[in-house]
Amino acid sequence: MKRVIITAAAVALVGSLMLLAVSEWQNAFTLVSLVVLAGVLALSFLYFEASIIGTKQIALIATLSAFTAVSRIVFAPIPNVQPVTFLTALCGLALGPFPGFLVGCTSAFVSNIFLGQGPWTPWQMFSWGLIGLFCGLWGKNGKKPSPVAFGLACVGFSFLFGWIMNLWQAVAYLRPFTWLGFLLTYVTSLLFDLMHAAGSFLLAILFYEKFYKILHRYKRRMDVTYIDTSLPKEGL
Amino acid sequence: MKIQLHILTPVFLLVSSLFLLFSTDHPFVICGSILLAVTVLAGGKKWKQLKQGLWFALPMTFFMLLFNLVFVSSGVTELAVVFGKRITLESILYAFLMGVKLLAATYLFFMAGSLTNGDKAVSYCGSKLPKSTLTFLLIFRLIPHFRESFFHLKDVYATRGVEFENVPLREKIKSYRAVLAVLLEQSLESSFEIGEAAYTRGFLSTKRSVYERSRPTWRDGLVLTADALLLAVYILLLVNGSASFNLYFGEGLERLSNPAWILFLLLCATLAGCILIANRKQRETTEVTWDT
Amino acid sequence: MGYITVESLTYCYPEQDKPVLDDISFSLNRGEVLLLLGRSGSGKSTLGKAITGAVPYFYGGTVSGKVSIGGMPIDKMEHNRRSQTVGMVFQYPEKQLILNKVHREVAFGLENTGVPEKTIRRRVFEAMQFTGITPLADRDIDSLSGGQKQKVAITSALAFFPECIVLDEPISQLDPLAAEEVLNLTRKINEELNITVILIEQRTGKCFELADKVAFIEDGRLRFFGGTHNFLDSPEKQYEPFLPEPVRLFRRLGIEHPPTGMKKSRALLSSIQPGDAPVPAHPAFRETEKTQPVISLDKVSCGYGGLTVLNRFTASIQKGDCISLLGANGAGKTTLLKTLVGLKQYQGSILLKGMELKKWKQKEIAWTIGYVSQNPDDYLTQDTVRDELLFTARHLGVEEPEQAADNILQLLELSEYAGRNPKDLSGGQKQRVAIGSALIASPEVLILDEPTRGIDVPLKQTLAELLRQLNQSGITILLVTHDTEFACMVSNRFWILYQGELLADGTKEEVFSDSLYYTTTIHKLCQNQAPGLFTLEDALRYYSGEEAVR
Repeated sequence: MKRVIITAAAVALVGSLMLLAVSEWQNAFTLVSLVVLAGVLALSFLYFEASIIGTKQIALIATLSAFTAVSRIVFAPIPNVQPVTFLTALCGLALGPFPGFLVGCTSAFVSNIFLGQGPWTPWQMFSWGLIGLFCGLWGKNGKKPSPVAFGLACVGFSFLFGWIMNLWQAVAYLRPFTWLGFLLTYVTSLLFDLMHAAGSFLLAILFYEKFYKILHRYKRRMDVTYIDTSLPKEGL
Repeated sequence: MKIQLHILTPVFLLVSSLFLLFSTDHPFVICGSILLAVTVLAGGKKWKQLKQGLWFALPMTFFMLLFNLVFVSSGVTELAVVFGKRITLESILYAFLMGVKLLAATYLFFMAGSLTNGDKAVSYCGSKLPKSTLTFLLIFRLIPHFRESFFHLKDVYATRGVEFENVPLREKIKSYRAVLAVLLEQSLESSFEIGEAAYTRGFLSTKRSVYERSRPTWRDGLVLTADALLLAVYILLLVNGSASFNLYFGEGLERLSNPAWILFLLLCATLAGCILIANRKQRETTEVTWDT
Repeated sequence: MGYITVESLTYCYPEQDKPVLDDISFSLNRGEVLLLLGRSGSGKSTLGKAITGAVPYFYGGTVSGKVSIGGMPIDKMEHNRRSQTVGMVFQYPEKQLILNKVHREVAFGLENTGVPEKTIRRRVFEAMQFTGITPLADRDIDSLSGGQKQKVAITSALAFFPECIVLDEPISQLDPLAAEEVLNLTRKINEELNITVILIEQRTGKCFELADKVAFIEDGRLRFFGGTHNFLDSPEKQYEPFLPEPVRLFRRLGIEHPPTGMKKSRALLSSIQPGDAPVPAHPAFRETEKTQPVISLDKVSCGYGGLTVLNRFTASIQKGDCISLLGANGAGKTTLLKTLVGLKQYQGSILLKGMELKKWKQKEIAWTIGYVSQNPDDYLTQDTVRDELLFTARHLGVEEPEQAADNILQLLELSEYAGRNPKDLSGGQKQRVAIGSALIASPEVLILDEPTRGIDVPLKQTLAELLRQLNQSGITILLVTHDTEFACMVSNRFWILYQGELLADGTKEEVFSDSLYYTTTIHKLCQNQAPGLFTLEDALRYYSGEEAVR
């Protein structure tokens, strides 16, 4: 804990130093957002370490992340199918907010090892993690939305994903920064976002029921970990 | 290239150089960053990554160029007036500059990646962050396996009459449903087995020890010293105001000739050189080779 | 009081009512080898897991009874200590190795259990020396063969310097050569280090030579526990399929106390006078019509990633053939099968019914050649068995799919399971569903990739009968197997593939009589006395003069 506090203090110090030193707000925003982002990701992994998540759950999270990453890699040649959004959302829904966040985060990082790591990696990790988190909150208490509702949510998430990516892109690289330019960045990415959304919607409509059932079954197998040392009579 | 550096060194390098790059638009800083990253990547013969970076940066540069040409009229040096719209030298230069900045950021990530030794990272993080490390280890283990299964299943479903090519998008996605469902099911099934394998081998049973602890060497010292020098000079320039730059207002132009910038660029080159030297293969290897 | 004692152990997986282990008790001495036998799904793996503590501490569930190791009940043992005492090697090599480099993998468990840093290095090195994998130390695990991976898994278990190792079907996924190496290593670990070994296996031939004790489990109950020779002598009929071929022969010939091991068996056999029957004239296999072949391959080469997998492969398949394709892992067997169903690019020429394969559409090929992959689970996506068959029928565009599905269900004796979820079926039934899916468009040729991998012995016999029956009904069959006994039971033609080339092609007399490696146990046993014997039935007929009773 002491270490975490020291780290946080150091980060805050560096952050404020940057703000002081940097004159343009755009660069200040870029830097501070990077620091905050790194902090959020680091803290979530620290939380993971401190949580009660055991070997079995780790294996499940890793498996789903690998599955998601592989789907992303194998579908990369098909331009409008971006399965990560749908799969992360589904994992969040079936497994809960934190596992959902982890699946989104790690699959983004890992698939980028194959597709190209870059300044966008932390942002993708964050955005997809967020999608998993939201869906996890949505699916709390075992709620299961209808395929259309889930599909529409995936459409929303696709746009959310695109917008988070754009925001940083625009602020970090647009000179001079104008609201028009900001808007235009969104407009140009609209086509990609639309394709992303359409693909996610189709995936949701076509895959949702089947995949939810599979995940739900394993989730149950995962949860039941009671150890009973005496067998009830009727069990025999 | 066998990586000789301690795992934290590239992390520190990445953080410090991203700080440099994103704290200003100053052309010398951007040039310095790109000089550093390209030298290290080229020294490691990472031609593929150098090319890949270009492909990532080009579309964005093109977009910014187009945007600036059409919408931006700021700037002093007027090149032409088209349909009553000023096209300025500054706006074009900026588009290029920002493109190079994006390229530099990409290359810096590549550089840090090329200096990270996966095995050492695992050893280091394994004792500090065992759960996260196991997660990533399992993912790396499973990906090639799943990929192979994916293509195998695609083959099996092709023999069951499922068509994957030359069909509309909706049908295409539908075709993959069975393949992905089977893959998901088999993957989840194997998640129990691989989890059990880790469990049986005592994972999370106690505080982990470290098999091949990597210790910082003179190599890390060299790189970090060069990096610290560079950072110090840059912070001086920053405090002094020389690092602020805005072409549209002509800001920073008069300090472009500040001789400190030459020192800055020299230090960038030195850092790149130090990294290459530090990462050179050792002649007498102190590592035990298992091969007989 | 033995070293490992299990007292009335009963266990239920979470959310299941039927106990997987039902009132099991036995006791094993330190340094013994226990061979744990039983059909798939009998609970033998679960028993192994109960000794490592994964059951119930990893899987959860309901447990009663007691397991103790070295006098210490495992519920009193800490996880850390348990891992160091009992090691486990699993069935699938790729699902138990976690790191990327061999020496790191061996160190993984030691790191987990907090072994001091200085000791780890020494233990890793010594364990690798012992198992002879030191030359592989710096290799990437992905670049290793299945057998090498299993050795790494064993080394990793050994690095704990454990007192006991549980091996859960360690050789079921390996080719015979690799399997033998793994078994030899197991023997070495037991003999030299006095490590107690619990060996769970299906392919039992050589395992009996290692075993001190045998346990037989059926439906979660321990049916037999005792010395190896008592097991071999036991008159119980249901044990028979699990016995090594020579032992089965001796038992059938009424010889008591059959030995294990080839040398002793051969010595015993030479004292037996053959019956009246002459060296059996082999039932003449149907003469294959020398008309136009169904498939003919001419100088077919195929490869990927700069690797030549098939090298100018030339052969032809006649109608009515039932070909067994043998060869080491990596010889190109799977690639050959996939090439034949149009899934791989190739050079050279493949004529399917006289027309170049490249000109066929994928679906049309599937109409003519049915393909069954190694893993029946690949075929299970629908909710019922019937839907599973209809899935293929509809995608292939079979006319009257309902009718076709019903015919197949009847042919494969699956009618009573038509409405069941295929995932709930047993391994053998799942395999039938997969075969059914391949047969739905009534193809002329059926191709099966290692149908015998990982299935138990009784199932193997039913599979052999099914394939024979299909072959007699006119379907040409090409199958890959490592199991020469199985091959002899079903096939009339044999291919040996080596580095993408066809080394041998002919009947079993032609291929197996003059072979060091690719031949059956019975042939190895009897060849000095009577060179034409390949199967247990052959030998029985020869030595007793009776028709074999299966």
